[in-house]
Parts: sequence; C-alpha cells; structure tokens
Amino acid sequence: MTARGTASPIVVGIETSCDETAVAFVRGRELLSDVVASSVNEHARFGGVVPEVASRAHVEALTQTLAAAREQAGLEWRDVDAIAVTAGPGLVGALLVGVSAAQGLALALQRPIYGVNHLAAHVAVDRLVHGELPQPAVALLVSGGHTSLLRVDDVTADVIPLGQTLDDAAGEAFDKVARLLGLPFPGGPSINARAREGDPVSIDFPRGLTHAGDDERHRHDFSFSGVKTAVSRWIRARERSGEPVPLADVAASFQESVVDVLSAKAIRACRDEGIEHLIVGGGVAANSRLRALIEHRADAHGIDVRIPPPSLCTDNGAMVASLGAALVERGRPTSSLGLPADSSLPVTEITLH
Amino acid sequence: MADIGCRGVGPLCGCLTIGVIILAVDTATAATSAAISGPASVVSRRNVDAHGHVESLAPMISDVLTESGIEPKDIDVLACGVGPGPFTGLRVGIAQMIAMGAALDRPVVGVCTHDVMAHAALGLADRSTPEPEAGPEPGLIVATAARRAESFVSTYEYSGRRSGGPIALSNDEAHHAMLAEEVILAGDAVDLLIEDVPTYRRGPRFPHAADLAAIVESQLNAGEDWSDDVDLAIDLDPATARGNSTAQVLIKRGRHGRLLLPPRPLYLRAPDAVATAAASTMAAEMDRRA
Ligand SMILES: [Zn+2]
Repeated sequence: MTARGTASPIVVGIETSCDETAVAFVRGRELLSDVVASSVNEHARFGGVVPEVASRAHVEALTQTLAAAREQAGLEWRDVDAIAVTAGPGLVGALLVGVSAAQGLALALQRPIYGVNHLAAHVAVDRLVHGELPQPAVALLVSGGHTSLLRVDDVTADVIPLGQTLDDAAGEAFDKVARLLGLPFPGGPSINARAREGDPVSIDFPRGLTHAGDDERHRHDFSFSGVKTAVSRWIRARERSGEPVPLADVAASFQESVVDVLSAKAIRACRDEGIEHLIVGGGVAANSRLRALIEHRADAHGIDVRIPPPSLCTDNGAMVASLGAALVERGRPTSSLGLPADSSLPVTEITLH
Repeated sequence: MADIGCRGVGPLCGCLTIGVIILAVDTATAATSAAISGPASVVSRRNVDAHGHVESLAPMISDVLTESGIEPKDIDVLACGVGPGPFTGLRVGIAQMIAMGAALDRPVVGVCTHDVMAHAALGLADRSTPEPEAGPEPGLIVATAARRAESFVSTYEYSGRRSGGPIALSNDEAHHAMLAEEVILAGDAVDLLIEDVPTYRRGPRFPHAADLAAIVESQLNAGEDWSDDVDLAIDLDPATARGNSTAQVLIKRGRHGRLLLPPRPLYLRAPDAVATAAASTMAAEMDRRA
C-alpha cells in the first residue's frame, strides 16, 4: 500500500472541524511539521465560534497552511503515503473544507485517504509525545466542543464511550463564565490566568452530576450548565447588594468546580474499568490546574497519566496525521474518495467510509 | 459571444494559442460538475443534488481523468467556479482545486459561476428571434437561487460583457428585472420567479464545468499582444522556465483575460450567522443586566 512499507508511513493530516485550519506531517510516530492558522480572533467579538465565519476562514487559510506544512516538513508532496482528515464530529461547513482539501490531495497524489474521528485523533496525538499508546487506556477529552470519557482498547478500531456532557462542553462553560466576568474569549486561558490570583475554595459552586443519586444513570457523565447558572446568580446577587465582584475568586472557584469533577470522574473511570492508564486531551487539557489536579489524584491511585503539551492538546493537524499513521500501520481499511463530512460522527466510528 | 475568447484568426491574430490541459469544476449551485479539457477533447460530467457536492465531486474528477487518459501530473491549470452560491458546497470545489494545485504545483484560477452560464447561454441558446443591436441593454440575465427569498443576479450584454452584478437581490427585484422582453434567462432562480419562459429565451439552469474550462482556455489566450514583452519571453523560454508551464507563467504575471479570478468564493453577503450571533450576544448581555 505504501511506497516504503507500512512501518513508518508519511502521512499528512488536515483538521478543520472548528476554528483552526491545521495541517501537519508525520513519519510514523515522528512529528515533522505542525502548522495551525486560527480564526479565533474573528470570533472573539461574538463570544463563541461563528460557523460561517470559521468556514470562510478555512478557505482563506488553506493555500498558506498546506504550503507551510510541506515546507516545514522538508518533503515533497510525492513523498506522502496517505492523507488523513477530520471527517467529524464538528461544524459541518468547516469540516467540508478540510475533507474537500484532503480529497484534492488524494486525487492529485493518487494516495489513500482516511476520514477520521476527531475524538480518536485527540487520543492518538499522544503517540507523537509518549510513544505507542498503552492498551487499554481511559481517555478524558475536554474542549470547547466536547467533554468525553472513553475506554480505548485500540485507537484504530475499538473506542467505547463511557460518559459525556449532558449539556455544555467544559470549554463552553469556561467561555460563558468568562463572558459573565468580562474576561476575553476564549475563556479557558483567561479564566486560568485570572484564577491564579484567586482563592479556589472561597465560593462553593456546585459540582454537576456528582451526587450519589446520579451514579446509577450518569456515573461517567458531566453537566456544566448548573455551575454556569450558579456563577451568574452569584454575581447578580453580589451586584444587587452593591458589593464589588471579586473576579479572581469567582474565576478560581468556578475553575476548581469544573476541574474537580473532571479529574475525579476520570480517575474513578480508570478504577471502575480496572485500567492503569489515563490519556488527557482537548483544549481544556492545557489548563494548568486541571493538569496538576489529575496528576495529583492519579498518583494516589497508581495510575499513569499522559497529557501532551498544550500545543498538541488544542485542535491541530498532528493529531489527525498521528491517527492516520496508526491506521496505515495496522492496515485498517481506507475511506472512499467520496467520503462525506459527518458533523455528529459517533466516537465508536474511528474512520468514515 | 464575441468578448469571451480570442477574437483573432489563429496564427495571424498576434496572440499565441497555447494548448493547455485544464481541470475545471463547479459546485456553486445545486449542480456538481467536473471537466477535463485537453488539446483534442473535453470529458465532462454533471449531476444535480444540492447536498451531494462533497460526495460527488472527487469521484467525478477521478472518472473524467480516467476516461480522458490524462494523469493528474499532466494538468496545467486547475479552475473552479467561485460562485456566487448559497450552499456550503460552494467551498467544496474551490478547496479541492486549491489542494490539487498545491500538490501538483500548478496554478488555480476562479471564474464567476454566472459567467459560465452566460457563456453557455449566449453560445448555445436557441436565438431564433433576432438579436438587438449590441448596446447597453442587457441581452441576458443570469439568476441563481440564493435562499432567504433572494436571488443572485448578473446581467450581460449580447457581446458577452457582464454589465451588472453579481449581486444579491430580493426575489421581487429579481423578478422585475427579468420581465424585460428579448432577454435570455439563465440560472435555477428563473423557474422560481417566472412561469412559462419561452424556449427561445431559456438558457441553462445550472453551470457546466466544460463551459468553465472553455472560458479559462480562451482567457489564457486573451491577454494583449505580449509577443514583444522581453521579460515574459524570458520566463516562457523553456531553457529558463524550469518546469513552469506557459499557462503558469501567464497566470503568475496576470497576462490573461479579465474573467480569470483568484480561487476565492464570491459570497456577496455577510456570514449568515453573524447577525444571529451578534443578536444572541446582545441578548446575553441584556439578560445579564436584567
Ligand atoms: Zn477538539
């Protein structure tokens, strides 16, 4: 299937499921280049990603991103063995740009194409950092678009959802609370920074789906709309009473509530499943408090934690290329040239056909 | 259709006729089409499915390549319709051509999708009624469905020159514009706005990539006379061009007809969601203050 055998295939990965236009090259588990153009600033004034704005920005950024990634990799296009692209889940118009571009590369280079699952790619990126993935592993994926706990027996073939958010994604909650506090979009980094000056136990915000009664049906699920509403009510009450709002304390207490639930449920999922490996990914995994708390709690239970560096936790092309390379190495079936984009691709479908 | 294409008479007209292989696609309307045009022949396909662009186009390109016996590496120019178009599919053809252009190191050009239909209408429509004298009056209106009770509209003179548009008009305005006698009507919005268009006035409903390829070829040959341009001659000299095809040099230097555009979508409207998002942000703001 590949010119040089399947040991260390050269794979180009394209990611456009949200507001990042990203292209990367890998050779097996070696990252050769990783270029990300973000339209995040264009969305800032709306306080969230605007789908049509993102889709337009992807087309604008495509030529440059493709060229920069190839150049940085120091390769020729004809060296590429396979093309991988995020086929879902994500914003449909945004996904379409990446899938179309990948189809164009596949046509021009006459190479196989893999339309891959964005969530599985968030897990697979860790191959580039810490080597081959431990099997089985539990994965916690947290970002503006998703909050999921997965059992990963084989990232190229066997991923089972354990739980997910019932309402807002964790990153979305950060964005909404940042807006309430007048902090800039995206909310994750701005709240994380502000929280460093605050007291995380000063305000007792609720922890969603952590009561004994939730255990039966929602043991591994999340809910963040409650904490967001609680923050909003707390601020309003404070304003009505004429007292100043202690921004740093609110930020720290809100953040603590979110990362407390995320880390506790991730560790418990590992123990429930009898699994000693936890992989964390997604933009919120860049949050320093979440990283610290997960590592602390994992230590106590002898669980090995893998968290890629922040640049590989947020959406990027490397994660897609890494999953693509794993699919080639294991000889998994390719996608058809006319693969669609699927905005609600279930996590159990690792490639699209 | 005098203005579209070289008006010269082969070698005597002073413009060099270049033989190029063009891959052209259009996904700006409900139709998906692809064509490969070589020196000897054109192979093309088209199907109509408003939501099938991403699934249809790549296999369609693969088909026309196979049928024509042309390898991707032999393609000189990649061309795409750049709209206007209301579907997210508009970007499918453009993104595929951009990626193919990157991988093959070949230039990518865009053509206004209305120009493609105008080219076809003026060349192919049954014009059994006498043409009016060439003048400022429109001879052709292209109107394509734009959703939200609007149409994208362009007007053309019989010469083929675009005299207005493309712009987004309310369907009422578009309907009014189309009531003129003696005007050929093309595009899928026509059927939504007017009942019983006489056959002699009816141009194509959808663009065809074969027509797009024809425009690109003629536009590459439609630059002014550049035979005495020393810089260009050096660029075109096979000894110095180092793999640059003639078409590549002409496009890089902008030495082509004015109908060739960069491969960027013609949107004509602000992003759909901007108004909504702005409104919801405002609502959240008001909610917060309440
Ligand atoms: Zn993501």
